[in-house]
Amino acid sequence: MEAFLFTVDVFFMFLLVLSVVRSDRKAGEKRDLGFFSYRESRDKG
Amino acid sequence: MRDLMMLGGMIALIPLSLANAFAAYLLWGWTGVLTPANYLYGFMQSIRYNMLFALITLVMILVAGIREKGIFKLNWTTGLLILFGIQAVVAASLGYANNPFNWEYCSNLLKILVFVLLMPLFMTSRLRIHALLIVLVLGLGLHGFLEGAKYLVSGGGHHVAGIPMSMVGDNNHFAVALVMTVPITYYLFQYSERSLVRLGFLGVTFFLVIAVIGTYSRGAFVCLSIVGLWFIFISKHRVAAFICVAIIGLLIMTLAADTWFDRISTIKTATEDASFMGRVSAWRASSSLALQHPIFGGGFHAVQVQYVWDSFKMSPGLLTFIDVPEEFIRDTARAAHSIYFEVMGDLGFVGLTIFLALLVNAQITCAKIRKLCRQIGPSVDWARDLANMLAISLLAYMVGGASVSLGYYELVYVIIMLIAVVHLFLLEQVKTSTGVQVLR
Repeated sequence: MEAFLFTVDVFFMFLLVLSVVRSDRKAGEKRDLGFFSYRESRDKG
Repeated sequence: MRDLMMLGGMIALIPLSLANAFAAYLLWGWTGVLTPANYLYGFMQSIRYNMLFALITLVMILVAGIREKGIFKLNWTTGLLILFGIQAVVAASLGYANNPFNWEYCSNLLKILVFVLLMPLFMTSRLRIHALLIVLVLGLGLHGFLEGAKYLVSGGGHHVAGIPMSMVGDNNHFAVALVMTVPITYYLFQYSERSLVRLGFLGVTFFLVIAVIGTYSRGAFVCLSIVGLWFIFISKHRVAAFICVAIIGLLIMTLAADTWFDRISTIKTATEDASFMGRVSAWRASSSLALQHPIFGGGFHAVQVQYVWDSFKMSPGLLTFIDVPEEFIRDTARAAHSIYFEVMGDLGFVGLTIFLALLVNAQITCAKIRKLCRQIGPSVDWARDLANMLAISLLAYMVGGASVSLGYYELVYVIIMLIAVVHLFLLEQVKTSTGVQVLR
């Protein structure tokens, strides 16, 4: 019982921390750069 | 197996803590009250989880310069906590030599003070305060839930001991810590949204009470009774609260073993009891030590050092009005057995004054919170209820602590700071909603 409850406790803590991290995460920046962005930027002048 | 599970848990938790300083702070608090090493027996036991997450938090805040939403403000609570820390360092520096407890307790206290002084940086919303309360219950509640369940399953045969390797290693200490946790779990029961979660917190509250009974601690029984009465007194629905307390009382009467009643009935004959009179002799020795060193005391747990005990054990100290027969005065050094005499002997009368000021100030702040809540309206009912529960928790400590050496217990300082944080939160709310400067 002890091992089970300890595991549940760690799992709940993980869920709490995960939800904190996810809710505090800033909105992702615009993903508009690729591997050839430099080359393309030169072509565009 | 548990070690492998913990390894898996750490592999998941450490990156999360590195991604978010508040997550690291919560893990710091959780490992502080849980002491995971107690539940591990293999290669994961020797890891200092608490230090690990404390370091991650501090590095993120101080070195990496990650800005949290809150700011640190000097007020009565933070000022007194800083003063208490300074007093502790000076007392430890000037304390008796060859005291193995001195710097161990001092550094523990300083770590706790760092943790609580960082709290205003993180606790900027109701949600975050709620998260910290859940963390406290996940830490301390687990111990109580387990021990309560063992006591119940064994039909009262299991004797609840303390948590080894922690400040609540003694059954009496553990009992006081559990009584202090009960109001927090009750608050979480009151304010959780989902009925399954509410039921879970109610179950934890019940098992915590059962675990308190299982400790056979007389002090904790008195403490639990006072908490019950105070709970009825401050409750909005007094009849319901009375019925609730009465049901718990009846359950205790039904579930407690005969040996428990035998033990509790000795409260009436305390003056003939070796355990109680031994405590009085420890209080006398601690107060004698404080009279000898009134400003800075003798250093942390100096009274537990044999040569210091030998010098003070026969002096009546401040308790000249209580006669302790010589057969009750032990030859071997013993702990102060009271938060008040502990702080008095360790940090002198100055340290005791700061300590008492911290406790009284926290209760006054709770009254200010209630007043502010009346001013703001029903939207902050949660703050009033939380302040009430934290005030009960602190009252449990002030009553139960009279017979145990728990002066530097983490939970107390966390509660004191939480009260200050809730107060600050309400003041900010009043300021932003009305633009009116409220008197602090």
